[in-house]
Amino acid sequence: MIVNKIQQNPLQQKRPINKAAVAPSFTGMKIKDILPYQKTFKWMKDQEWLKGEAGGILITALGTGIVAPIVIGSNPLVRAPKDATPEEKKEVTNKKWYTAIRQPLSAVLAVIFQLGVLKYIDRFLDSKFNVKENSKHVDLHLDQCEINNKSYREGLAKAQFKAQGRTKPSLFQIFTKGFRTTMDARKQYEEDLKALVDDIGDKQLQKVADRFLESGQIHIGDRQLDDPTLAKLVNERIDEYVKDAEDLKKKDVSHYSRKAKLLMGNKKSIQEMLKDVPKDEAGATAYIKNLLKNEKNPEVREILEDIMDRSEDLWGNRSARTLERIQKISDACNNNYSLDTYIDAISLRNKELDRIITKLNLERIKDINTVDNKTINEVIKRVVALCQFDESDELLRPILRNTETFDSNLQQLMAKVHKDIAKGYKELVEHEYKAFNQAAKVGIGVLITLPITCTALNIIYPRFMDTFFPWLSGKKDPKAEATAKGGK
Amino acid sequence: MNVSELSSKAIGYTTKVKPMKWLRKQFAKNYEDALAWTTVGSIVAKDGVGCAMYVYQSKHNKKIPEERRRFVTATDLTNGGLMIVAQIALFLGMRKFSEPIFNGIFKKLSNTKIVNEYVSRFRMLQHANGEESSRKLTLLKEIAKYKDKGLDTFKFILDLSAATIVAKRIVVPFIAIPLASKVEKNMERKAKLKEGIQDTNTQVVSSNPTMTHRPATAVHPSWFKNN
Repeated sequence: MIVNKIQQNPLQQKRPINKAAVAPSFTGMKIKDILPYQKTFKWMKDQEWLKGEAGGILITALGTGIVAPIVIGSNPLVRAPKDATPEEKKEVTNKKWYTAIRQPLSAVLAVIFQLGVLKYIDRFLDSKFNVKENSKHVDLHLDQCEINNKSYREGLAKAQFKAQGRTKPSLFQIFTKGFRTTMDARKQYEEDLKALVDDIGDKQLQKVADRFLESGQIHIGDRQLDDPTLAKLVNERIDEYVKDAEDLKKKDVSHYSRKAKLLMGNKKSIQEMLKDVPKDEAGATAYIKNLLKNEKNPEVREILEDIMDRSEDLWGNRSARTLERIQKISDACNNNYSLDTYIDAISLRNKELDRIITKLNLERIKDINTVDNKTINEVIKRVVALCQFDESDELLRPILRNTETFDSNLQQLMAKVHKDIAKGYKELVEHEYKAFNQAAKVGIGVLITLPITCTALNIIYPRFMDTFFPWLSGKKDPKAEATAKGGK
Repeated sequence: MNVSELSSKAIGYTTKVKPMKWLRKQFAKNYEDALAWTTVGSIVAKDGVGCAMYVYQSKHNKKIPEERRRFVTATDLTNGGLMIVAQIALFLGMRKFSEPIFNGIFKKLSNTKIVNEYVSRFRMLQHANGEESSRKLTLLKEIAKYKDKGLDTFKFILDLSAATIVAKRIVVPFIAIPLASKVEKNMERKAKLKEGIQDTNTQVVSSNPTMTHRPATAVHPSWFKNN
C-alpha cells in the first residue's frame, strides 16, 4: 500500500463512522451499500425478469383483470334510454357487469396459458443455445455454450446443489419446523443459489478471457468469434478508455485556479485553524461553526462556508480534504506555488491526458470488415501499453493511479483488457439471444397460446357466469319457474 | 437424424434469416429500446389479430341482424384501431416523461451535491477501515450504474403500464363508442347512397345503443369482448 503524506495528517485518524453508513462489516462493501432507496432498487432489480414478454403479459393481465371491469361496469356511455323501464335499466346494468366480469377471467387465463408456457420455451431454447452439441447449429453471435445464460446456469447450480443433497426447503416444512425457520432456510437457499450462479458465470467468463489472452481469439465451442465482431468489441473498449481519460481531465480551469488562489492565499491561517478539528462529529460541527462565527476574513469565511455546504457529518472529513488539497496544490507546483505555476500544472496534466486520448483514438480499427486477427491483437497490445504508466512518473502516477482503466502492472493490465473485451462479447451474445428469445415468445404467443386462451375463455366464460352469476347471465332459476308453473 | 438434432438445425436456420438478423442488430444497438418496442409490438400484434378475428366474425355472422351487423363491425374495427394507435401513442409519449418522473421520485440520486456526499461518506468509511480511498470518478461511475439499472426497469414498467392500462383500458373505452357511432353512420350513408335510398334520421338513431327504444340486449358492443 502506498503510504500517502495525507495519512500522516492527524485529522486523518480514525473518525467515528457516520450513522447513515453503519454496517456490521466493511469488508467487500461497495458504495451502493450506502446509497439511498436500497430496498426499492433491490425490488426493481428483482423485477428485471419482467423486461420482456413476461412483463408484457403480466402488466396487460393487471389492466385486464383490475382496471377493465371497473371501466366497463361503470361506463356512463353505455346506458338505457331515458324513458326505459326499471327492468330495462336493470337489464342494461346486468349486461354491463356480465361483460365486465369476463375481463378478470380473461386475465387469469392469459396468465395461466401465455405466461405459463414461457418457462417451457426458455427451457427448450436454453438446451439449444447453451449445449455445445446443439448450439453449433445456431448463428455464432447467439451461441452461449461458453458463457451460459442465467436461466441455464440456474439449472446447473440447482443440479450441483442436488448432487450435494441440497434442495430448496418445501413450504410444507412450516408445519414441522415453524414459519420463521422455514422462510429463513428458503431465503438462505436462494442467496446461496444466486451466489453459485454468479460464480459459475464469473468462472466461465474468466475461462474465455484466459483462452483469449493465450490464443488471441475468442473461442466459442469449436468455432472462433469472427474478426469484424472482435474488432468492433476492441473499438468499443477503446472508446470506454478514452471516456475514462476524458473524465480525468480538469475541465474547468478557472474554477480550480480560483479555489487554489483562495486556499494558497490563506494557507497558514487555514492550516492553523483546521489542524485542531475534533475527531468526533458533534465536536467537529461545533468547532467549525465557532470558527465561522469568529472569522472576519471574507476569503477564509468562503472556505469555511464551502466546508459547511454539505451534511454536518461530513464537515470533519471536508476539513481534512481541504488540508489535503493545499498539499496537492503545493506538490503540483513543486512546493513553489504561484497561480501561473498552478495553471501550467493543470494544463500539463490535461495535455498528458490529451496525448493518451489522441493515441488511443488513433488505435481504433478503421476497416473492421477487412482487418485480420494478427492486426487486432497488435492493436490490443498497443492499447495496453498506452494504458500503462510508470510508478516513478511523478506527473502521470497521481493522475492515473487507482483508476479502472490505467495500471502500472503490464501483466495485470493485459489480463484486464482481454477480460474487458470478453465482457463485451458476453453482453453482445446476451443481447442478441434476447432478440431471438423475444421473437420466439411473441410468435408462439400470437399464433398458438392466444388462440388457445381465446378458445378456453369462450368455453369457460358462459359456464362460469351461469354457475356463479346466474342473475347477470339472465339464466332463469328452474325451481322458481317450476313453482310459478305449479301456482298457475 | 433424430428429433433433437432436427430441431437444433431448424432453430439454427431461423437464427440466420434476414428478419432475425435485423432484429438482433436492433437489440445489439440499443438493447433497452428494442426490448420495450418488441414488448409493445407483441401486445399490439395480439390486439391486431384479435381485432381482425372479431371484425371478420361479426361481418359474416348471420345470427347478428343485418341492421346491427354494420354497427358491430364498425365498433370492432374502431375499437381495434383505436387500441393499437392509443397504445403506441401513449407508449411513445410516456417514454419522454418516464426519466424525469424517475428523477423526481429518486431525487437524491439526481442531485449532484447529495451524490458527492455519498462519495465522501464512502471514502470516509474506507479510510476509517484502513483502506485506501477509491477515486471519486470510480465511485461516481458505480453510482451511475446503480441508478441506471433502476431507471431501466422503472421505465419499462411505466411505459408499458401507460400503454396497456391507461390507453387500452381507460382512454379507449370512453372514445370507442361515440367514434363507432360516427363510423357506423358513415357506413350506413354509403350503403344507402349505393342503393339510391335517401338517408333518414330515424334509422340512424335506432342503431345507436344509447338512444334505442329497444332493449339494450339487442346491441352487444363487442369491444367489451376484445381481450
